[in-house]
Amino acid sequence: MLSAGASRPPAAEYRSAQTFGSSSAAGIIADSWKSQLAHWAVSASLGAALRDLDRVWEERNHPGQGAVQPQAYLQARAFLASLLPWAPHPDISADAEGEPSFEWDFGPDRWLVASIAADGSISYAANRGMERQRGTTVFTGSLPETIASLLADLQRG
Amino acid sequence: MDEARPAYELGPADVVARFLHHNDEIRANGRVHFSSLMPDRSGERSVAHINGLDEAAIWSLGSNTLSPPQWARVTGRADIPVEAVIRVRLRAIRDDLGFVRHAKIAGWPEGADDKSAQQELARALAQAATAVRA
Repeated sequence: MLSAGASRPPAAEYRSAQTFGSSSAAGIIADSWKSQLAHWAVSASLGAALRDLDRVWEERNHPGQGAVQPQAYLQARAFLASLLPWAPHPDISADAEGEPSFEWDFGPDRWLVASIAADGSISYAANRGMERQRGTTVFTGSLPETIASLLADLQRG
Repeated sequence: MDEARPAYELGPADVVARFLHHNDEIRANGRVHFSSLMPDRSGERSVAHINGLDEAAIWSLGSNTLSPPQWARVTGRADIPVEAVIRVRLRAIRDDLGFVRHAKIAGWPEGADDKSAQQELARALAQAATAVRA
């Protein structure tokens, strides 16, 4: 599992990367740092989201209504990994059927909610200003186009 | 002292509370997570009618209505104005089933393909609700 703490760059190293001179070598090194920082940011976001998902699992890891289904949990992990390279970190919980659920806000009247079932089916509803959209799609290991498109539109504002 | 009475429909001046049992049910922005207000397998969302109760009585209602295994605890609650329930064409019905002041949010879209419609309504309720941490 990815760890945000282990891969976060120390503040001093980050500052030194910003103060290289203007030579091409320095530029290459700075670009390399930027790339590395972007990678760390993604890892940290994914790590944080997976820890949130684990907490949802642990709080409900018991028989009865609301318990997260193991297969749904695994689907949710893969779903998060597929979207977090570029999408913001959602608030994660679980519904009464034990399906991990995700909620994003992008401003007034701009939001997306979704939940994923054990078989990979994703139910979602979104609002883009005056435009509402909802439906069902399927996660088969890569981010469904519908969800990707919605998140991209919502992030654009 | 409250007594059970025949079921009746709550009105726009009423408030119902959904007791929360997990920390993740209140989001980072302080709002209730929509999934907490989704209907359960019965097709309804159990709540409690809290009009006329002070804070201590409301929390007591939440604790005393649990008959769970050890894990369960009340971590917070979502206070939902019935006006918001009516606005999205759902119904709040106090039936006193199980405990006095038990109510339910009913009238959800039904059927296998209607989960996304339920999500849309649950999100609207969550936005209208006030999250209160225990």
